Amino acid sequence: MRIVDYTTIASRNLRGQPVRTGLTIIALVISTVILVIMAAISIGGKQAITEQFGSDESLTAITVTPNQSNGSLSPFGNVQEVNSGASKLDDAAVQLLSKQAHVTSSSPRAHIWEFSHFSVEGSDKQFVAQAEGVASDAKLPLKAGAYFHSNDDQHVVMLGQAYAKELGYADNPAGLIGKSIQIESQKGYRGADAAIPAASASQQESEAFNQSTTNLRATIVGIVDSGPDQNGLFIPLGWAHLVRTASYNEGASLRAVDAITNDGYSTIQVNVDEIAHVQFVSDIVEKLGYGQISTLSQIERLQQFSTTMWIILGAVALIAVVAAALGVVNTMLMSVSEQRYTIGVWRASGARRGFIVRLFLIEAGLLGLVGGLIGVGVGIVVSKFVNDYVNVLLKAQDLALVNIAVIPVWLMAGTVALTSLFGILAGVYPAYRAARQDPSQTLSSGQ
Amino acid sequence: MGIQNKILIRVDGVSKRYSRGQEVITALSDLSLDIRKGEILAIVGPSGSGKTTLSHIIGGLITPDTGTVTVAGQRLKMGSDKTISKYRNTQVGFIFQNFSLVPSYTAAENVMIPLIVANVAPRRRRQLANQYLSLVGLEHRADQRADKLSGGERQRVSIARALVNTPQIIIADEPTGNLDTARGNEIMKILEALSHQQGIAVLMVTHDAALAKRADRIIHIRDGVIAKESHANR
Repeated sequence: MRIVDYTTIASRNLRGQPVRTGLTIIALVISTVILVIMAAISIGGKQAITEQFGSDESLTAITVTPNQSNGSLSPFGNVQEVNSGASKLDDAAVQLLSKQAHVTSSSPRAHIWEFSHFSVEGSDKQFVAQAEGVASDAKLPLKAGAYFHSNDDQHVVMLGQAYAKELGYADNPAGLIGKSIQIESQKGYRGADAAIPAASASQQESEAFNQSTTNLRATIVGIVDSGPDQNGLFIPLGWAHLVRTASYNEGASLRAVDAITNDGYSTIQVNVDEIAHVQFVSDIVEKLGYGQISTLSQIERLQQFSTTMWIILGAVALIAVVAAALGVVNTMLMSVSEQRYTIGVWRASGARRGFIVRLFLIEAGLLGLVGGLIGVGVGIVVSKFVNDYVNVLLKAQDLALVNIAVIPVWLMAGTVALTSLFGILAGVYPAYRAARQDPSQTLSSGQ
Repeated sequence: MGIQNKILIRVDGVSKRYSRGQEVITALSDLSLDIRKGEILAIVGPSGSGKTTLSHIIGGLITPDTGTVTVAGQRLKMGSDKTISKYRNTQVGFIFQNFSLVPSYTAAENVMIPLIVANVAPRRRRQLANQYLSLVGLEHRADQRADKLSGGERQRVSIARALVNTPQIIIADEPTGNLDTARGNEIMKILEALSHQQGIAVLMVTHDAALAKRADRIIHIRDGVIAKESHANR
């Protein structure tokens, strides 16, 4: 018998019980939608990670740290082991790293712990100052304005795009260029522009100084674009040295301690010529006794995490499909029970057991196929809503738009094939039960 | 054409037992009989006498515990699903008291069932279905669902289906049991015509003594054995 005959008869049997067939297909559709959306988000998430962090510049960047241990990225936070033998990140290290094969640039960064908060001219808003001193060759993506001049120790800053948005300059970041910024120091600040107490100062005066802050003024020269540095406040490395140099009046002399020179830079940003050489350079950095974190390795870790999530979510979705398949088993058993007489008629007319098995397997497979097709269709619509919703949220934060749920053709085809296969497997037991029926008994017992 | 002396089916020493819980019921016990081409053979007997079991063994629906069934000189391999299914498809036509139609199929589709099994091309199936529905006077009801037909019409559709693969024997189990006298008479006339004009053997299982009298030969079964055999008194 031809497949078209089996399909025609099976579809007629299904249409003969519209309520039961409809409910079974709805269960299959729901489980298929869950499966499709879970997979689509995992796939889209992986792509989004690459797209968000994966500009050529950021992918070829390595952050060198003084610690031997690598930064570990997980959804539950970072863990860094204390390393007493940490290598110091000084100018010699910057030079050493810049001479390594495939390294195109090496630029130091220094955290500024002395700043407390800042405000911008024309606004009452105050922001926590997460400041860093950066060299003029730091490859920060600029939204507006310009970089610092080389060895600049003037009071100028580059501000992250997130602040521009908070200040109402999201669409016009250039409007902030030239505005002044007032930075308030931590209490007891002893860096540039601080009023250091004289050596003869009383204990009371010294304690009062320790409770006082210093106001520093600077001019905004650039706005850093969205991305990992969008929340930063960047000052020239020359000024950073001055800020981080604590002065003490000791009798007739003034003792100055440059924390950056003493302790080294916080990090050194190393750029590599090609993505393919990132791992090679990372290994060299570690061999030199430094720690390293690369965007590429972070992406890989995120993607590993995404893959793990895919497996977990996929397992949940698969359980839903299996539950729906059990529904197909139940439906098919009911179908066999209700069609006992029809099976008897076919058998009396010469149909072999194999014919009955194939007929019911195709009937179950059709349920899976239709459920899968509708499920994928609904999944596509749902994924569009998910993407639209996520992009509304991203746009509100001025972040690049992404498709968080992506349904490639292979996923559509694979899902339909999977639900069809599950349908057929679910039909195996009912089909064999149908084929084993005694036609003599069913025909004698009547409809 | 009339009754021919050629034996179509030989049933030899057939026995069949059923288990019902602890109880073992003997449906047939060492029963033998011959069926000739073109004859109408009526099997009569009280309920539980084994007449339906016998007809189902001859029709290949039941495998006997012992004994053989030989059709046109060929012994039936009752254990082979392939052989016995082909036998049912090509050489036997069934007519049941409850019509044995699929209610959601049309009259034509019901008639086409044996043709689908035989892998006949769709266009040819339709032609044959119309041809046999025409033979029983139902060509105008071909596209009517079976559950919308009257009892007499359903039984005629059942006859059309039984004939569509040109079988050598028709097994009719209480063919007029659910019909009134007039409709029953119509069905009997069709069976008589098939038997006597086309040489098809008709094995008719019935309780109805008046119906049995229209057969060429009557076999009385009691407790699984042939109690009496009589010939038509026409």
